[in-house]
Amino acid sequence: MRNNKHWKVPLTITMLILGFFLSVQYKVQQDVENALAMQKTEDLVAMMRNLHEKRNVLEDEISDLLQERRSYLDNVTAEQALVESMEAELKRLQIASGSVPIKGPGISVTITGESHLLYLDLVDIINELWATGAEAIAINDIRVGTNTTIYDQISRDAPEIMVNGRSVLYPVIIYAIGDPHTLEKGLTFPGGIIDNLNTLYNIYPEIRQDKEIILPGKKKATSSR
Amino acid sequence: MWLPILGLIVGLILGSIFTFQIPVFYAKYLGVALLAGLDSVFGGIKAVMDDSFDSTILLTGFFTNTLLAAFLAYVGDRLGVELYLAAVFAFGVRLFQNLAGIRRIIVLKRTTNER
Repeated sequence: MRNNKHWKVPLTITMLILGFFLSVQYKVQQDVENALAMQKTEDLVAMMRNLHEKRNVLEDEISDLLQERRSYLDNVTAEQALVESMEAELKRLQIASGSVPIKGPGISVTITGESHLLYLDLVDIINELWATGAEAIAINDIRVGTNTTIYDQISRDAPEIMVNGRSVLYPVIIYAIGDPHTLEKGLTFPGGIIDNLNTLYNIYPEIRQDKEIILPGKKKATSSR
Repeated sequence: MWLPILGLIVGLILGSIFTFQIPVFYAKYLGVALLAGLDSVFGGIKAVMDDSFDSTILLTGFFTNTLLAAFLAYVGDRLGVELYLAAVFAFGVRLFQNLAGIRRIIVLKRTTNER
């Protein structure tokens, strides 16, 4: 019967504290119920089956992706092989057309001024060199390419051989890059072109094998040792 | 009349807003303490209704009962006796008695008013 009027404040305080701990406990209890250990066996089995299926699907995806990757890698290697062969082809063609400098073993054919060399002989020698596997050829400092012209021109006193419109000065030196031994054999076999020149026209070209000949682009051809 | 209910609602909201988490290990003790607290609060409401309310009795009862219930449950677990069952039983019975008392008072008031 005492403190009859003041029941509101104490009751409110207790209610407040009670409410606070009620909701705290509610949250904790929910966590406990959500914990795996508190789940029903059937739920756990279903959960496990689900995860198992998901895992299988993901494993399938992994193998699919690996296969895809492998096929891409195969493609890449095939493309690389293609690129390499194309590059080799390009290099070969560049060398043949004389657009790039080249360096390598080969031979030089020197024809001195006292011989009566005709442009046909020069063409024959060069064709013979191409035929025996020369990779690049130059006459003096003029690189012989696909559209090189060789012809005779009658000037003041003697016929001149013109290569690409420039007269060739004696001694004429033909540089050829390739296997030196093969190139020399191709020129000097009995009944071959050198034999013919020797016997028919009294031209005696001097053939020398070089370990390294440098034919720079369309400019100068020099022999270096 | 509405102030205690407001207090309860504010308490519930505070408890849900705070990320304050009790370790799962102590959840059982908090549950027993809450049962004791519920009993005290309903006892208080009943006391208000039959005009025998004493704030000292409510507050001391609330705090000592909750703490004792939790403490006894804890001690019981340490000793291997499920002492929290005693707390659940004792406070559960008292809770129902209080609720029955509240119902009785309401019903009696109704009938006296009608007359």
